Order: sequence, then structure tokens, then C-alpha cells
Amino acid sequence: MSFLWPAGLGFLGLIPGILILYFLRLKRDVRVVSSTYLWKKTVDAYRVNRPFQRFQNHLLLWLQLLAVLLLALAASRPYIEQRQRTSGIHLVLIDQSASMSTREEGGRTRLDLARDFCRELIAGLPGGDRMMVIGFSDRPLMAAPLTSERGALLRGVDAVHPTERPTRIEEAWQTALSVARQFDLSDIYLLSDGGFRALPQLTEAHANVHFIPFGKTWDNLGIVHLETRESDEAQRRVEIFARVANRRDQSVQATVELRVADRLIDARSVEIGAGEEQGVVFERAASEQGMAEVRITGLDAFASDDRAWIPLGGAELVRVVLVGEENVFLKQALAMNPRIELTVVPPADFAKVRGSFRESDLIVFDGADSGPMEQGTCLYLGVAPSAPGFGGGKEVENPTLLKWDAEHPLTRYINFSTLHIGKAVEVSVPSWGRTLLSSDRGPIISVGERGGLRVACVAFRILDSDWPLRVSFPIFFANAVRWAREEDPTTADRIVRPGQPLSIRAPREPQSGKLTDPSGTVKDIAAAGSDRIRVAETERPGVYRMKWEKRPTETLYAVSLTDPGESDIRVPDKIDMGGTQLQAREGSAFVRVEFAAWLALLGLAVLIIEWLVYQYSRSRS
Amino acid sequence: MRRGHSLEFADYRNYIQGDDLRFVDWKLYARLDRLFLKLFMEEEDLFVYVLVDASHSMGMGEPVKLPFAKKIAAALGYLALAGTHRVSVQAFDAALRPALPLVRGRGGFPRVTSYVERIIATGSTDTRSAFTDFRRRLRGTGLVFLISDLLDRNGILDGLKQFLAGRFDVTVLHTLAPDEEDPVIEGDWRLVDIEDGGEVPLSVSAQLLEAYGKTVRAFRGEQQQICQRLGFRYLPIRTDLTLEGMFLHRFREQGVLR
Repeated sequence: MSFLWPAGLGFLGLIPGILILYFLRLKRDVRVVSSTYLWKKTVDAYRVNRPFQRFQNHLLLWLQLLAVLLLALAASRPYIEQRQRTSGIHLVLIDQSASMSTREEGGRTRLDLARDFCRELIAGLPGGDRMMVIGFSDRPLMAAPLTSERGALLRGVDAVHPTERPTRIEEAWQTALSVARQFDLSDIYLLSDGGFRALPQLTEAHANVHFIPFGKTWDNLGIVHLETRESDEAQRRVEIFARVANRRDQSVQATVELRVADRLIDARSVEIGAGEEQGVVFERAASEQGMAEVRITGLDAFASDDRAWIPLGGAELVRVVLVGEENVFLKQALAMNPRIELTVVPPADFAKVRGSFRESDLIVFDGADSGPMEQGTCLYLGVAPSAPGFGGGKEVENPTLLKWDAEHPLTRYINFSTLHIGKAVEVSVPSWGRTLLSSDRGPIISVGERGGLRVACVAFRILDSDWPLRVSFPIFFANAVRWAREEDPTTADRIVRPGQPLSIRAPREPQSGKLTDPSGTVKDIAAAGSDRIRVAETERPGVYRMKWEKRPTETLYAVSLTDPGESDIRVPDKIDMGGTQLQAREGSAFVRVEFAAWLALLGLAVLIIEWLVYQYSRSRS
Repeated sequence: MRRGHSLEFADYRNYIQGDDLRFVDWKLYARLDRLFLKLFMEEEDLFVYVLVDASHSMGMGEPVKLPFAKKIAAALGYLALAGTHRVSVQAFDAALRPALPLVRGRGGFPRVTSYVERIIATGSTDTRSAFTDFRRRLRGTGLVFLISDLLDRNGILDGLKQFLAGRFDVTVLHTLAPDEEDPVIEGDWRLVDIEDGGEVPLSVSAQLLEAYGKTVRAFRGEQQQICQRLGFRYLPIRTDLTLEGMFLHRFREQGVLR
């Protein structure tokens, strides 16, 4: 039995008052007798004439105490929970996201508790009622179909394993609703610790939704964000930026470690206020390769967000095709990035083999135009692009450079003021393009994007300038590769969350490879001409190593939770469902039965009896 | 009873010289050949005093004690008058009230009832004062019937001793009402004495009532002991008794009446 207003029990404080009144005997009725002589003798013998009399078994006293007890209990609104008999169709959604692995008091995880609850539901399933069990994290898991067979349902509950995935309830919710729509009425039990913002409103389905939360602890310190960014062009440093969230209700002193290739590199101590987040920055050389791991030391209730990984050293594999005659400067500039797979094709041969370069990241036309391109990313050097709207005119000499766009991915970090150009082609830029570097003789570097085609144009040939001698030369081509891959200098394409598929860039040459997951399990992967291979087995956070048979180096992939929603292990007491607030446990599997009214009535009845007894005793006296 | 010359035979004794030969039982002489003299009860005027406690306390009880006492007084008066005795009824509280002068013969009974009817309950009990007054007024012999609840805060010993001064045959009819012996009361009360206004606060419980019952029995026993010590007859009565039951059975059993 529990109480909705436990303060109501404070009325029990009246009981001592009643007892004191009884003992003090403050007011008495007068009765005239023939003589008090005999009474006095009796009383003297009995010693009743004291301020406090001995406790006497008095019916009125007991009745008054009983009345106060009943009324105090009624005021405190006691209730019990009874198993509810409802629609007969029970749809149970069990949250199996990462945060459900949080350990609660007693060492059991929230998922353990939720599964126990579901087992209780199954045990109490009335005959003829049917139940369906759906697990969900970032995707639904049909654990048990709609059935009344308890064995199948229990097996389904067992199949709802803990995952390291974030919470995405929408798909599971729609699955449940699609089943609910088939019945006039159903009950949907949402066994979760929250982690989702809102549920869509019920549409075309009549269902009682019961949100049953699991978990009480707030004890978590987690890495909610991790990224790398270049810090300084000149020094070529990379910042590893981690954001650590403290979900506890008091500030903590946390130690955040950086490890590269399992070696402790650096450690920072940060103080994080209650409920706040704090950024931690580590700096490394941009040329450093390997996997960086950021780790929070110390134990908390939720371990999955205490470690996060991020690869260092740029993209995994970049395919660049150079169409043109031999150009040493250009080859060297591109070869600076060890992950570039460079293919040089003479202009005369390009037309024959262009179909095979469809999945290249970048095609560089060095003074050669090999016909219009329909898609892909192309960089034209000293020649106007064969793209609609772009046009080439006469050659101009010694153009004076005027201004450039320092923000664009192609031209950032570059100072063109020292560049001298002997001659250049006069290029007209269409409306869908823009000029990044302009001169008094027209655009020098321009860029455009239309449909699947991305075009960049440098209006002069490398050898017609002193650019190869300038620092900006290799930076430009490094920028060009990143721009072509549409990527930051970070390694975003090699970071996924648990459960999300890894998209591994396959080499063009057919070969086999091995993917090793953090537990050491090796998965064989074959490259057979396709550009990318998707690997779905990414449940376990950590470092995944891809080694292709014919490539010297392995590519590292990181699987990290880094999800602010999952790290926030606080359990809401209500959730929003289509604008209405669904209170936790409201209309849960157990119906809350209040009996305050009955207690109050009983208390009043006792009071009436007490009054009658009092009147009766008076009349007899 | 003194031996005398009434018609009521009392006893035999041996004849001694000088006795009146008219009283010799000749039939007995014929049978036994010895002379026996027949003795007869002496007929003389017997004075019967009925003292009725008319204090406030006698106006209490259920049934009320005073009417019951008045009935007994009238009945005793009648019996005495029927026995050709002289009867006086006297009410008292703290002192003797004006008495009914001695009346004789059945024709005097209306005077007895008239007196008895006029008795009302008032005043407080003081047996010593009242009976001292009685002793001073009467120096003689007779039967005294005292009808009272004996609720004298100072006790009755000193009062009863006053009867020893004369040659009185005293019968104490200790009258209590049933609700004084076994009160039906519960709860919290402030009991007020009707005579002296004294108060006793009480929280009545079963245990207290039991203790009170013991006190009443002890009180009865105490009064009985006093009477026995003084050679008086003690008769406890309750107002729920019927007059028939009392006169025909209780009084005869106790030797008050023959």
C-alpha cells in the first residue's frame, strides 16, 4: 500500500491529544448523589484523583482513536495497485538502447528490470489475451509476434538483448501502431528510460498507452561529442575536441585521457558542474596517423559513453585520376597524401576508359579537355570546363590577381598574393558558378555545381606560373581532394554510432580483405568492383580495422556512442505524445485503486457510533 | 415482656407458699400430683417510637428512600396501634423535628398517616445531635425503630449510644436504594453531595464500580457491627423490597415481629 499524500498521516498526531484529554479529565458532567461519602472512600482507595489517571479500557477512547486512525489514513489517500484487465491486446515495447544498460541499485541493469516487468505481465496474462513484444533501439526488433503462447513470449523477452545503440523509437512505435490499428482497442506498454523527445499522436488507433519508466540513477559522466579539426595551417596541428557531460546533481572533477594506438598520450583534469558540459581539447600533429581514444577515468552507472574513438590522418582512400601529360609537380602535390590512389591517363585514352572512372573522387584535367562530363568532380587546369555555361576565350597574359575567397574549401588557408601567372585562359563563369580568385583579366579560379556535376577551374596551366614554387600549391590540391570528397579535414566518414553500418571504401582492383572488430572477431570482405561495401555488424563500440590484401596499410574505423541523449540517463516522469503529457505509470499495467473515500466513510461511521455510545451511556447514567 | 396478669399465658413455675391459689393449674396437679403456678404476660402500655430520617439524602435513590421509609413508618405505626401500644413517629435530620405525640388505639392511625405524609426530605444528617435531643426528651422505655440510610458523615456510633441511656429496644432499618448499592454509571462525572455540596470527580470504570460495591458492603458491615456492639437489632433493607415481603418475611426472620 502506498500513499498519494503521505502528509495526511500527520493527522495521527491527534491521537496523543485525545489520550491527553482522556488522561487529564478536563470536563465532567455533574451528578447529584445522596452522599459522596462512600464514593470518596472508594476513590481514596483507588487513587483516581491524580492529574493523570491510569489507562483504562474505555470504549469511547478506542472508538475515537479508531476514528482518527481511519480519517488520517483517508487523508493520506492510500492506494494499492491491482493488475488491470484491459483490451486483451498487449503490445510491449522494450527499450534496448545503450542507456538501458545503466546499472541501478542492486547491480541490475534497467533492461533487466524492464524484462522482469514484461515477464510479470506475461505471467499475469489472462487466458485469451494476446501479447506482442517489440524491442527497440535505433531500429525495432520483433521479439515475439502477437500470440497468447507464454513460452513464445518469454523467449521473445529473452531475445531483447542489451545494445550499444542510441534510441530511435519512431519505427518501433509505428510498428506497434500498425498492429493496434487492427483492433478496436489495445494496450501499448512502453518500457523505457526515455531518451526520446516525443511520440507521435495516435492516429487511427485506439490504444491505452502506458509509459512505464525504469531507472532512477543520475550517476553518469559521458563523452557526448568527439571531433577533430585543424588548428593551425602553418603548424599543421589537429585539435581533438571532446565534450564531456556531467549528468550528476553535483559537480565532479573528471580526468579525461587521450590515447593513440592504445598508448596514453595526454590527460586533462576538468571540473564539470552539475548537469553541465565541458569541452576538452587535445592537440596532435596533423600528420599523425592512427586511432585516438578519449577516455573518462572512474566508474559510473553507465559505462558505454566513457570511451570514444576517432581516427586521425584524413580520409581512408581517395581516388584521383589525372588526365594529361606527365606533370611532376602535380604528381608530387597529389602524392603527398598517402591515401590518394592516383591514376594517370593520357588524354587520348581517356575517352575509352572514362566509364571506369565514374566512381573516382576527382578527375584532374591538366590542360586537356576530354569531352563534356555529366557527373563527378572535375578540376580543369588551364582549360575551360566542358560544362554548360562555362566558356573559354582568348589567352590573357600577366593577369593581376585582385581578390580571393578565403572561406571556400578550395581556397582556404591559401595566400595568392605571391602568385605570378604568365598566361591564362579567359574563362566565363555561368550563373551556377562563382569566382573564387579574380583578376583584372577575368576569373582565375572558379567553381560551380549543378546536378551531379561539380566543376572547378584554374584558368592557367601550372607550368605557366610560379605556383609550384609557392606554399599554396600543395595546399590547394589538398583542399581540392577534401572538396572533392565533400569532407572536412576530419574523418567523419570513418566514425559511426553502434549499430549504424560502416561504409567501407573498396579498392578498384578486386581483392579480399579482413575486418577485425574490437573483440578481435575477423570478418572476410571481398572487393568486387563496387565502390563501397556496407558492413552492418557494428554493435560493439571501439576500433574496427580494415586490411585489404593488396594495400600496405590498414584503415581504422571508429564506433562510438557519443550521443547526448543516451548519456542523459535521467528518466523522465512523463513523455510528450502528440502534445499531451503521458504521465509515467499512469494507467500502467497496474491500476491504482484508491480507497480513501471508504476509509473516510468508515471513520465517520465510527464517529457516529462513538456519539451514540456516548449518548447511551449518558442516558443510562 | 414482663410477667403480669394478662390473658396471655407465659410460663409455669413451682408453687411456693403464699402464692395466689387462683393461679394454680389444678389439671396439672391432678396429673402430676404437684402444684404449679400458671404465669401470664403482664399487660402494660408499650411505647413504640418510629424515627424517620428525613434528611436530603433520603430524598434520593431509585426508588426514592423517603417514601419507602414513610410507608414502613406508617405500617409499623399501624401494627403498634393494633397491638394497643402507644406510637410516636418522629422525623429528624440534623435535629429532631416536631414529633407526633404518642397516640393509642386504631383510631389514632389517621394521625400517624397525617404526620407521616407531611414529612419532607430536607437538611443534613446528624444522628448524634438528633438522638441526643431524643434522649433528652424521653426518659423511659420502649421500642425504637430507626429508619435511615445512616449516611452520617460523622458516623452513627455517637448517635446510637444515646439510646443506651434509656431502656430502649432499638431496631435499625438501614435503608438504601438499589442504585446506591449498585450504581449504573460510566464516563467522567463530578459527583455532588446533596447535603453538604462536597464534590468528587470520577472517571467511572468497571474496576471502580467494583471497588464501590466493596465499599458499600463494608459500610453495611460496619453499621451492623456498631449495632451489634450496642445490642441493637440491625436490618439492611432496600427500597425495591415490597412491604409484604418485608413485614411477612424479613421482619419475622430477623425477630422484629413475631
